[in-house]
Amino acid sequence: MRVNGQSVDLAAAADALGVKVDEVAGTRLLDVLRDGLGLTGAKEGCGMGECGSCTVLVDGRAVCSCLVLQGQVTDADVETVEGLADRGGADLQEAFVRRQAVQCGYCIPGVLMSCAALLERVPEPTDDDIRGALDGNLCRCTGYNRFHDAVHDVARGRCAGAS
Amino acid sequence: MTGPARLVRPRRVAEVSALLGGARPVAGGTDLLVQRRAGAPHHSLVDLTGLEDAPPPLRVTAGPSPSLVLSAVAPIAVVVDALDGRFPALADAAAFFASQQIRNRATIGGNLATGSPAADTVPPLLAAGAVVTIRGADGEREAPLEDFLLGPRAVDLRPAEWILAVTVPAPPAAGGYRKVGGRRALAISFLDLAWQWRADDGVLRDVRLAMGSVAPTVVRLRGAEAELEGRRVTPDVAHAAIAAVQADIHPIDDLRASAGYRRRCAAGLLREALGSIDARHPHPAASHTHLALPTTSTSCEHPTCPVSAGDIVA
Amino acid sequence: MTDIASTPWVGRSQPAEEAPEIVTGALQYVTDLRLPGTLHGVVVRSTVPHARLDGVDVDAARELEGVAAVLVAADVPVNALGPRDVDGPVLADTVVRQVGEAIALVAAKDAATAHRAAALVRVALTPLPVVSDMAAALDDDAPRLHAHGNLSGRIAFRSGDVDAALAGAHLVVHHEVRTPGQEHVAIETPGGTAIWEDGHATVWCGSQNPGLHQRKIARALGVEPDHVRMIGGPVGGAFGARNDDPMPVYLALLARATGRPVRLHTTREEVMTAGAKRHPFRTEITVGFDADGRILGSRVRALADTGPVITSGPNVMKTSAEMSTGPYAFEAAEFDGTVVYTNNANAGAFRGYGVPQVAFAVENAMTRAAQRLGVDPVEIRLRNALRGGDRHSLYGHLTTESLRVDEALRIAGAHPLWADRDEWAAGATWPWRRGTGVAVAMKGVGMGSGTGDTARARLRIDGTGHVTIWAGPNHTGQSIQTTYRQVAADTLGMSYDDVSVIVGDTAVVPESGPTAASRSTYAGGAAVHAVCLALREDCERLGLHLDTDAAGTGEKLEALGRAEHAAEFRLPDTEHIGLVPHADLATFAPHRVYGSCAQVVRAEVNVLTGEIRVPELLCALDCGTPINPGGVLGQAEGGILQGLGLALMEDHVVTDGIPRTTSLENYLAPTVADAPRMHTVLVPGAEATGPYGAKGMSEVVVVPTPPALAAAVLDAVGVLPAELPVTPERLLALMEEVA
Repeated sequence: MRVNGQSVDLAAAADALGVKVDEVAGTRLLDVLRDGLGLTGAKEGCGMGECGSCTVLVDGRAVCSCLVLQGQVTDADVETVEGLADRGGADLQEAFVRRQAVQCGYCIPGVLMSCAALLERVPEPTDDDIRGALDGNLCRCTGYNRFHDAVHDVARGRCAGAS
Repeated sequence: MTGPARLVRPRRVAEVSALLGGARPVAGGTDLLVQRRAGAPHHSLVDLTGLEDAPPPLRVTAGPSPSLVLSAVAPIAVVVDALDGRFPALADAAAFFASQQIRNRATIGGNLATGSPAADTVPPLLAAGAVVTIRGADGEREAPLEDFLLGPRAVDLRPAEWILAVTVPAPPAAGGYRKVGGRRALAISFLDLAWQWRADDGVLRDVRLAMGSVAPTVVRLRGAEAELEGRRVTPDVAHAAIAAVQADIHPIDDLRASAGYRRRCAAGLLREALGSIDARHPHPAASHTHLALPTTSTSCEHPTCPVSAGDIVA
Repeated sequence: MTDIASTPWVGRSQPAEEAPEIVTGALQYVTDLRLPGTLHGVVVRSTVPHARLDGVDVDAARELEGVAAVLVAADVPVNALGPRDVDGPVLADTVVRQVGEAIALVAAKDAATAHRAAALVRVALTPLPVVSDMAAALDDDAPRLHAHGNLSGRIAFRSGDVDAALAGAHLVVHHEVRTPGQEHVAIETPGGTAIWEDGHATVWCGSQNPGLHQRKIARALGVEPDHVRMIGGPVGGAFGARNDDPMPVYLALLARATGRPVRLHTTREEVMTAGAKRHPFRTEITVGFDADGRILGSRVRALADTGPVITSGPNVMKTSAEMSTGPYAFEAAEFDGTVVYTNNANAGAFRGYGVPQVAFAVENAMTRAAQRLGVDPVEIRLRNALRGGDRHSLYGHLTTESLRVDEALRIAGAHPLWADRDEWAAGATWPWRRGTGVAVAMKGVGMGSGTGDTARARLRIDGTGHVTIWAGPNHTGQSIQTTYRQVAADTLGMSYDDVSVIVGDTAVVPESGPTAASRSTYAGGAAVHAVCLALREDCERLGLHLDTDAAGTGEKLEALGRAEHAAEFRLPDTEHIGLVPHADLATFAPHRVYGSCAQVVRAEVNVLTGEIRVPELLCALDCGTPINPGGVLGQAEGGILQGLGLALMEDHVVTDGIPRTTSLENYLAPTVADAPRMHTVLVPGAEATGPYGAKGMSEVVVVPTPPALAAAVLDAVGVLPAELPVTPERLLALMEEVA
């Protein structure tokens, strides 16, 4: 498993988790990230895939890391919000700040990862595309409208930059 | 809260069944890991997501009437992408299936294996006449989906068996899916309906209807199908089909909806689906069933109906 | 209060100061904190709604290897969450009165061990009959949940001759509405970390009222409040849920018992089961109108279920009473509200605090009257609108000039969403029908007259000219400290970057009361303004120039020992208390300052299934000067969606005392797919007593959404829903009844 481009030292992660090395495979990816690797950007809001605050990318696709076991992604690239800027997501982060799309912010790491996956697949998403991509990310503060604004900003900016 | 699971990750399809003694297969994990959280028995798990010789997400068979062979262990989002419009009812069902994150993990195999009457991919597959390819220690066997579903949380999987693929005859262009839930995403269905048919000059052929969350399993609406087969959808025919649905379903009360609502809504969904038929022909909205609209106006509101809609306030 | 001509920072949309850390994942929330050697805590909870607690056997749990502490009621020095018996114990002692009530606390070396130990705790219970129906709670034969019975509170008031007004009315509208328990669904579930060192507790745990939690912890531990440091954030959402939450007390108890850092993070299932909810209400209303739609009189009776302990119950009903006349001016009004104890979910503070419940009754009556009388729904509300400076219809006290209900309604009425509603409705495609609805509401800012509501701020300038301000109320998602910095920068004539603000930490922030009652910007902002004025005036006296030489000024003030200032802002009471007896002022706590909000909702209804879709919504918001307009719009949009959730889907179901909606799979909150496009228009205006003319707004936005949705349903299909949420099943049944 690579996380944000780095190979993971499973022994160290096991130690931090307080489990044996061969038990890491059966541990939730979310716990490995947060308690094993100290990457607390992904949050736990429900533990059953209903809130999306633990969203990370596995090989570019947004998944709930509370419903993935580490052993299922041993050959995968895992990306978390901590690695977002390095993979070209700084404009997305800036758009969320500028558009005041962030309130308490607890859902935001997951929302950003869903947006990053969307923009990768659909460079100029429609509002329906955004709804489809974010339909697993509950936010209780913002009403979601500003997420649309921020994503559209990024899409416009990237298209302008590409042309 | 449970401790780590015991997980093995075979690389070959042929290795899986031998590992399944006392263990459960897991792919997307979007149902199984939720059950574990709720205190389900602590099984060892055999991960099906690392199989290097698993079938591709989609294979289209050759010949004059091609079939679609869908991987049961690939994420639903991947399968739908590969279908690229070939199976609109399944694509519609997938669009309303849980959430993006779940669609990116959950598999058709998992959705079938849970045996839930609310599994959203099942109605389109059942309407399409899907056949399940089951892999066991002694090789593969096939079962029609309708026979595979035995009851709530009960399916025809024997020890050491798992679902490899699902095959459907390429569906006709006329088909669709409609779901009613408590919200517009991330919702377990109150009920859902998948339909497909061919319309030859207004006459319906090969009518297939399947409905979820109205019986112990997803069910075909055979009574309604019989009323529609070989007929034009006149108000009387539509009325008869909608009435026949009531004998096809056996809904119960649960936290999400009452049996009574499910009965009324089942009629409504079929009526809505029939309303989508070419409007050159009379359509069911013109007839007043027990679901008559709460209006003093007797005008028809179907968009292509020559009678314009009247004042809508009762 | 505005005394500086130019305000480069106030009125500018300023991104939240912590947003850059949030978007990189760097911000450590209270449940992200990891201290070395931390133990993991678990709460053992009741699985039954009502039972005598015969004993709790913790021997096996305590003996398990790796377990550091197992605490029961007898281990809590003062086993009380408040000064009154009805505040309830920290841990159940003789009786359990709710599923999810805390019985024991466990701390162990890791989470798995803690859970194993929790499973070994043996609880001996004798089941007792359950009080599950709020309407039957006061029956003579109802089981008594407290020594004095099941009456938690009652508030009643009357102005004018309501009987005569109703008798002389051209139209009388009468109905009962029901509103459900609503869960906050703050995305971060309660939790945090606590340590105990040298007789002092430090607790990191989300809190809307760090001072109150500090005192609660001190009471339970039997120590002085200054031996407790409460750090109330960063927290992932609140909405009222961090007001009544006992979690900080649990953390402190475990830290003291073990002498080690203890971490606790509750599951979603625990919050759904045990966390406080919005009070379920049954509200009956009778309103009389003349032929022109002018209100002649109203009578409102409300019944609320506060669950097994009091939390905010009677205070919520106090707000319901005040808002039972809506944002309307008329002569005769009566309110009678009762709060009862049951074995259902404990209810507490939730954004809107008793107003959404009664407003649904009031606004439905206005909608119905408009329909019956053939008056435009905006026009009938305008004819009755309470204007700034008018006397309140129930209490007769004076409101301030800044109230702009009428202008909010005019903006809503002129907006294309309302003006073009017929054209929009005509575009519906079978089996969907379209309708448009309007509603309006107001809500008081702050705790109300007679309550002594006070916010405080402390300031220090250093030798570099940097100003640090410690102020409250706390930040729970609205980035109030960003707002305070904007106020401070303009008051001092400095740059936003030259000012820091610290909130939420009882060790350094002066007591400023709760993040509640729409008071944070208004009261906290005014306290910040006051402390900055104090510094500025000092500088002026000394001939120092903050704006041009901040560093020199800071150095000089430090040398003079005048670098620190403190100030407070006490919310002004209403200038004339009207009919309220002076001795009872705090009992009714009428407000001086109100914000208001009108909304237009577009809804599509499927006549075959009862489904509702809301594609678009307008909000006209009367909030005085928006100090951070982008922040105000964000608060409005989030609040509206909580209102829409209440209108369409949110319903905490408890049957026979057993909670049924125990996860986010069966308790539904709106997703992005359910969210309409929201247009918010800010009504021009300024509140003379608020900082730069600002007043509170984040609660009132929740209130009009459900009745506006109901009105849109009426417009679309001819039925007016009286029970929330308007589920497809309920709406289809209503449509069939009419058909």
